[in-house]
Amino acid sequence: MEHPFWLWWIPLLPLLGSLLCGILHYLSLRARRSDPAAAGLAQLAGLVGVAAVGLSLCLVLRAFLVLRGLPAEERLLESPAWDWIRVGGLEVALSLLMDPLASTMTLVVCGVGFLIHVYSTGYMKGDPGYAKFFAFLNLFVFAMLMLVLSSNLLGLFIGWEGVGLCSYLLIGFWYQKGWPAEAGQKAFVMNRIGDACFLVGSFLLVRLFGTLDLSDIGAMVQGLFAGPRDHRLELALAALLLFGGCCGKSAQIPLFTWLPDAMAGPTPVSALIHAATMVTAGVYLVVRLNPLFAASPSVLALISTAGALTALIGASTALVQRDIKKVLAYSTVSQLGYMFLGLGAGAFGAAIFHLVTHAFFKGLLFLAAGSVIHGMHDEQDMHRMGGLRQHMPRTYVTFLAGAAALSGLPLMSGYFSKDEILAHTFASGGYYQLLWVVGIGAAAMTAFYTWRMVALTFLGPERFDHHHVHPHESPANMTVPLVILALLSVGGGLLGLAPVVGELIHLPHLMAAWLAPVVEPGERVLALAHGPQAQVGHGLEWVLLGLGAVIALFFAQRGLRAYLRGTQPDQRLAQARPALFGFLSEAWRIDSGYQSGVVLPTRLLAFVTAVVVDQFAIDGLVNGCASLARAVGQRTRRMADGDLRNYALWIGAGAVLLSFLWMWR
Amino acid sequence: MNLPSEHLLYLAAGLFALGVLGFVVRRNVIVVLMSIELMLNAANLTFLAGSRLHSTPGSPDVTGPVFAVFVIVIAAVEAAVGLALIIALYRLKHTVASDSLSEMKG
Repeated sequence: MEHPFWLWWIPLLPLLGSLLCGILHYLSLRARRSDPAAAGLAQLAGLVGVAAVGLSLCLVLRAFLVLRGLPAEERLLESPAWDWIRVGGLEVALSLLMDPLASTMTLVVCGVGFLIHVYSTGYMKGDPGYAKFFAFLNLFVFAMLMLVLSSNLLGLFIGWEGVGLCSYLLIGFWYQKGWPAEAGQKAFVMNRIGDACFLVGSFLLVRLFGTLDLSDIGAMVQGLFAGPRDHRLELALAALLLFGGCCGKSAQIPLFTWLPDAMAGPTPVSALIHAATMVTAGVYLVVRLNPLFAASPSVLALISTAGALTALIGASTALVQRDIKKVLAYSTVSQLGYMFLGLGAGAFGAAIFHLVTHAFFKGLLFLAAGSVIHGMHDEQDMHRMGGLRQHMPRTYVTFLAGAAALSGLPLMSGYFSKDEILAHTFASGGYYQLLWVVGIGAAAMTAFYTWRMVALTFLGPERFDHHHVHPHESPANMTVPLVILALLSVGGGLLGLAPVVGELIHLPHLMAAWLAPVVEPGERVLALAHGPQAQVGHGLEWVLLGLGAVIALFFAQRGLRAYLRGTQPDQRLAQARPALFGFLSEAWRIDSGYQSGVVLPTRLLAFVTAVVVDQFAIDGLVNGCASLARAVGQRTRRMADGDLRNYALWIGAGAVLLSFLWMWR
Repeated sequence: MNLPSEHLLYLAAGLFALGVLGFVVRRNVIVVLMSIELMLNAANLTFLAGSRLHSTPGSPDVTGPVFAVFVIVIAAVEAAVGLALIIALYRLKHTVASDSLSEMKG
């Protein structure tokens, strides 16, 4: 194994960039106070931010090339370890680990991140917090890279919390408006619930294995499986708790409600953090610890169930949203659900494949939506768009590419990744086939809402006010990233062609081959736990692929046709079935359920505690002591009447009393 | 000398009661000081009576007389301080009545 120190530069460069941007922000604030024209300093921050991530991307590419040059089973780079904590039997070394999984993730983070940084230089132009934005964005990239590259759970947790912090900062970036700040808090608090689970899960792992090193844990789980079958319950509990952390970070049931609200942040943030990278951290964690999760079949089933339900809820909610970013947010929730559905079925490689293609096409869709919002002067309501095809041709074409990939039209990237997950789920048999039906249903809805979005935004009559809104195409630094992402969304499927299709053009499943060393231990444990995995036969695979294609095409066409002439289908549904419409548009009322089931009781408890316990009992006790002392003082001050003889009398009486007490003792 | 020791104690109690009475009823601070002397001497008498009770022929108990000597010394000092205070009080108030001293009234 090699020990290249330069791995540290991958996360450190964005950190340096973040510091520099922060300094630039400070300087520009000071300059602005004395000289209003001195905004040039802040403009420099865009360059710094882009350069930091760009250099990181170069290093990541170098690491990828080095890894590719090694034989498959030796693909592991570890930076020199720094002994960080050594307490009793627990040793934590802070070191970075680059293996095929980490390399895939870093390529996505830095690659998509770089494009989004470039895009942001256009999108955030003129914003008073321009430099601050890049400082936060670079800090996020640093935290995300730490999360992905850390060789142990503690370092991963640092990154995990770091991305949460940056998410909070960036959701509330326009905190002056009020509601973004609240959305940021909501995201932070919901994530805290998951993080608590994560922490307890890590404690449990320390207790079980005495180490936090990710590869050691994987090896020890395999060792446990080879030996006598004890510790099964603790393993399952640890996996469950870690999955709880994933639920928070990756917006799964029951903690997904923060993600739609997170759309309050600037659109590049939604693209980078809440679609492409941070929300996939949970998927990464499960794949990273795949032997641990594979060791607990019941937890796997639970993960799949949560994933399938999340996919269904997200997709059905996206059907009736009016806000273009909300559609994409619920779509992200539902696509993350697919990834967890795949993870639960043991398709770790397929989940990462979907993660990658999703980063391409959802990042693209968010950026394109941002371009629309930018061109429409901050309008997000699709009911007040329409006909933008003529005004924003480049955005339109790239959006089409993203939509095709998201809805899983044949041969697009999303088609292969989603169908691989669904095929694995189907092949797992039994209960999983029920989940497969749910997944297919959600896929149909996905195709429908995606093309509804396309029709409402870009086609049909123009419904905006021509006097106030003059839609225009975005500048080149916004459209070029769109074009690159569009190419990736269309061609990303080549990374992981379904075997039957791959055989036709002699291209193997690149992703599966690349990730094989990482997911292989988990698959071995799975095979030990419930026998060899069922393989999808050729005929069945063709049927599943064909079914996916037919469903996607059919429902995409339905969605496009229905909304081509305007927004009437929405209004008809809202009038004919107001209950259903409300139920769907409020995400199955889960948020309001939390409001009445958790938030209100907590508030009530807080009120009771404040009024009854604090103000009445505790304050009463304190004030009571004071009034008692005062009352006694009022009564006894009469004794001190200034007459020496009375004092003497009291002293005498006291002396007599004391002597009597002493005598009768 | 076959005066019983109890009689000494009765006398001491009487003197002490007289002192207390004088202390409580008289307003003149000089008389109050004298009453204190009276009480101290009652205490001395009690010490001596106790010493007599505890003595056996051939081994006299000296604790009582020693204490009495200490008390006499303290009484002398106390009288000196007390008289000085009374003079200071007279200079301040032109009276030595104790009820003129009520500045500390609560």
